[in-house]
Amino acid sequence: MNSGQSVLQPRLLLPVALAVRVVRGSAMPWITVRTFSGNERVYNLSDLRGGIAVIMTIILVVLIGAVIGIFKRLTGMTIMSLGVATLGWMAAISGMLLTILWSLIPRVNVAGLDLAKATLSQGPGVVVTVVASLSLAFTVVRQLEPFRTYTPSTSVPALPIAALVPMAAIAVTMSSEWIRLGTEGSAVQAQVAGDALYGSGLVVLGIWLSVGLWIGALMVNRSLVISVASGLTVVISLVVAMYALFVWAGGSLINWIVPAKLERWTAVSVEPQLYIVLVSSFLALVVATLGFFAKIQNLRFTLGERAPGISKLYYSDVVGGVILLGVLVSVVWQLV
Amino acid sequence: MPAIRRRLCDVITGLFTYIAIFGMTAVWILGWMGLSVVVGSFFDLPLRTVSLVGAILGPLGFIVTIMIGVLESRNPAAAEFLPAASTSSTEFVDDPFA
Repeated sequence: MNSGQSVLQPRLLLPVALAVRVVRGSAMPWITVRTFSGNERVYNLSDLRGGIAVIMTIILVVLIGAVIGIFKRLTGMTIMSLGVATLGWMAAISGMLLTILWSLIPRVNVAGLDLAKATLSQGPGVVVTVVASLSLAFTVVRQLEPFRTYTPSTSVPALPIAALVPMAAIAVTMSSEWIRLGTEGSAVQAQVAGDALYGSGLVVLGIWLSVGLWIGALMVNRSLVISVASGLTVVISLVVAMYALFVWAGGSLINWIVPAKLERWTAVSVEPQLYIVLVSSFLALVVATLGFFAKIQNLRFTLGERAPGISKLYYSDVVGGVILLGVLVSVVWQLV
Repeated sequence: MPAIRRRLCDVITGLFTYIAIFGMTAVWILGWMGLSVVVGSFFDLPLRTVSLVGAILGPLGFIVTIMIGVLESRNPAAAEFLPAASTSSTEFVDDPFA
């Protein structure tokens, strides 16, 4: 491959880094089960029989894509993206299906576990896997016609980044404990996560759609995309804020949304994550409302033009390097 | 013998789980790909693009296809306020997030 060709092709480091991030996400918790005895158990794909084989198959597809990408960049990236999209959708479907089931049908047994005595949530692995796989998918999509016509090449839109930060915070904190319930004179306590409340499974679905649309708005920067993402975010952030406010308000309101079987709990303590959700949903609401104004939609960070050959440092390589560093740190952290 | 039988059962269970997981995901991917192709053909979008968008972005690809279809069907001169991507040969060099 000569230097002229390499200038015309997208860089390979960022797609590879995102694919590694997705594979790393598959080793993180996908489902968290919090029993009412105060214990917390986590599960991921490798806990299933045949789960390791699934991960190995996807790693093989990613490796094939990376090798092909050296010679034919877009084809290789597409193969990698299809591989990790499979893993991303597995995470999203499994997490959403279980949380929707749990949030709508409170008394259900899954894998011999009495869910009447436990709550079920998505794990952080789902967030990592889905966000990284969607990001990789959009890096591929933005190279295709007619999407290429709509993608900014020398600037980064500010609004999607401003919206993604609180939305990501909501996605993470929805799966963490909002309140801790206990009985007087006993060590028994229950941790109730945001996505374990009635009807919250559908809210989680909306959160994911909103996060995806904002990633899309980052790559396909057009007024229509931003307006649709803003509209959905306004609705989602309002609903999440209402959930958080009801839980925070406590008293009799809590009995309306927490399953009736919890009514014997006497001590209620509000966790810091609930306040993070409240602040994040307020921020998301403000940013999404601003997203309806053309002037705000047009705000962007200009990165400037560079002629090829002047600098060997590429923006996408820097982002890819940071992602790889993050993966490395998380692996070392887990090992230590 | 019971140990061998149990091991065999584990292997078969793993095999069925493997097939079920990939089967479910394949149905999901192909289903959204099909829906995106139908919508894309309505807006006269390239088949290769809408197939890939539907396959890798799922329900999001379906929504994005509709939005791109609407954008494409508008009058380009009157449509957008945001500058289109550079069409020069250095496009990928300055490409944020490549």
